[in-house]
Amino acid sequence: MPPANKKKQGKVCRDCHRVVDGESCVVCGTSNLSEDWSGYLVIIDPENSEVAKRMNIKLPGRYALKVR
Amino acid sequence: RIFAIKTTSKQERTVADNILKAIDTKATDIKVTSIIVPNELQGYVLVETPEQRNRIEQLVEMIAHARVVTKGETNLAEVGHFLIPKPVVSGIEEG
Ligand SMILES: [Zn+2]
Repeated sequence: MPPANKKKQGKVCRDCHRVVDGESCVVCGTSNLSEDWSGYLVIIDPENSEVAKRMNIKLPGRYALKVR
Repeated sequence: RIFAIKTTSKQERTVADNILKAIDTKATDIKVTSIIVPNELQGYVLVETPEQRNRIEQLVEMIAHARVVTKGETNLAEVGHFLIPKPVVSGIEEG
């Protein structure tokens, strides 16, 4: 697990908006990543989250709200 | 329901991560289904939860950089504009 102290903004998957730790998205398998993103969304319990439904998110995780 | 938690300046994402960590490690049994951190809303995070307000106040007490739960509660209709679903098909325009 990465340290929670100050770090530069990581990368997110352009396809599913998930925050990615390595060089490719574990969900989509793509390496189509972006460092230009804003807003932050943590989905903990997608089955009971109206927010997750609105965002079409089915998996728990950390996501960007906007990706450029 | 959705509550707004006031955070230390520039620690919005840290607070979201800290809440996630507290739940993942079972440091708390307070249920949170999602946490929204819009860039437009500096100094706050939005917590979606089935819990009552007093439980979220308990949660705030154990989360570093989280300060207070703001008065009142909100709902998806009020904060929905912060949520832009990823486009399934591109080319849809809103009027
Ligand atoms: Zn992805």
